[in-house]
Amino acid sequence: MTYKYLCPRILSALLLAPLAPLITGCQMDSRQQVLATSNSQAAQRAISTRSFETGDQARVFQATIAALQDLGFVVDRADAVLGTVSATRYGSNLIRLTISLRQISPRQTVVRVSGQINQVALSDPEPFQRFFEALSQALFLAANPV
Amino acid sequence: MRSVGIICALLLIGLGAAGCGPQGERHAAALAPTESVTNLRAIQSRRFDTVNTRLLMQASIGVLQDMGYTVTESREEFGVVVGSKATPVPVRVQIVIRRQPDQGSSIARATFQFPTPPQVANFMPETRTDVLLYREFFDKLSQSVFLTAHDI
Repeated sequence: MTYKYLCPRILSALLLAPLAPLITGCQMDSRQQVLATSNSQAAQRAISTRSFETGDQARVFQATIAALQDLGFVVDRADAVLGTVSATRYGSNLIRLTISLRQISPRQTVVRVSGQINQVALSDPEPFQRFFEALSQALFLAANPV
Repeated sequence: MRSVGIICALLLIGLGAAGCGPQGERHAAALAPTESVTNLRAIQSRRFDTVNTRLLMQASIGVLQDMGYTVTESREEFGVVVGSKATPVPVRVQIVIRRQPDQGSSIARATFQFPTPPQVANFMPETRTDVLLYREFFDKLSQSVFLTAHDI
C-alpha cells in the first residue's frame, strides 16, 4: 500500500526536479553577486582609504593588528610582504574585514579597509571612520583622506 | 498501477547506476578537465603590459576589496591571491600573476568557483567558465591597476 502512494510522489518529485534550478536561479544572478560593487570602484576607495605620514610599513602593519584587537577582532591571516590582514569578529553580527596597506612614498603609507557585516558589504563611510580612528590612536598619527 | 511501480523502480535503478561506476573510473573523471584547457586559459587570462607583478598583485587585492571579498591567502613569491565572499552562496576566487619578462608583460589568470543552483543546498562550488563573468572581472581589474598605479 505504501508503495502505491509512494510512486506518484517519486514521479512528481522527478518531474518537479528540473524546475528547481529555475526557482533558485531567480534568487541569484550569479554574475551580479560575484562582481557586485555598492559604489563605483573609485568612490568606494575614497571612503575606505586613508594615508598616514610614515614610510614605516611594518609599524603601520603592527598598529593595524593592534587596532583590530582593540575592536574585538581576531586575525585570521596576516601577510607582511604584501601588507594584507584579514580578521573576523563574532557576536550578534559576523564581521569580516580585510585591510591592505601600501607604502606609496618614503614618508607615506596608504591603508585600505573592506569588509562584510553578515552578508552585506560595507559601503557607508561611518564604519571606515570608526576603524581609522582606532588605527590613528594605535599609531599616534592622523588619518588623512587620499 | 503495477506498470507505474515498475517504471519507478527502473528510474531509481538508473539514477543509482549513474553514480556507481568502478572507483578508478569515477576518480579519474573527477580529475579530468571539464573543457578544453586552451579555451579555459583564454577565458580566465588577461595580459597586462607591465612586468611589475607587485603592482598587479596589489591591484588584484584592490579589486577583491572593491567587490567585497575577504583576502584569504596572498603569497607574493608565487603570485597567488585568494579571496572569498559570503553571499547567499559562498564564492571563491583565485588570481595568479605570472611575469613574462621576455615579452615585457605579465599574465593574470583568475578562477571563480561557486555552486550552481541545483548544488546551492549543499554548497558544492564549481569552477565557472562563463566568458562574460571573466570579461567583466578583468575590466574591473584593469580599472584597479589604473587606480592603484595612481595611488588611489
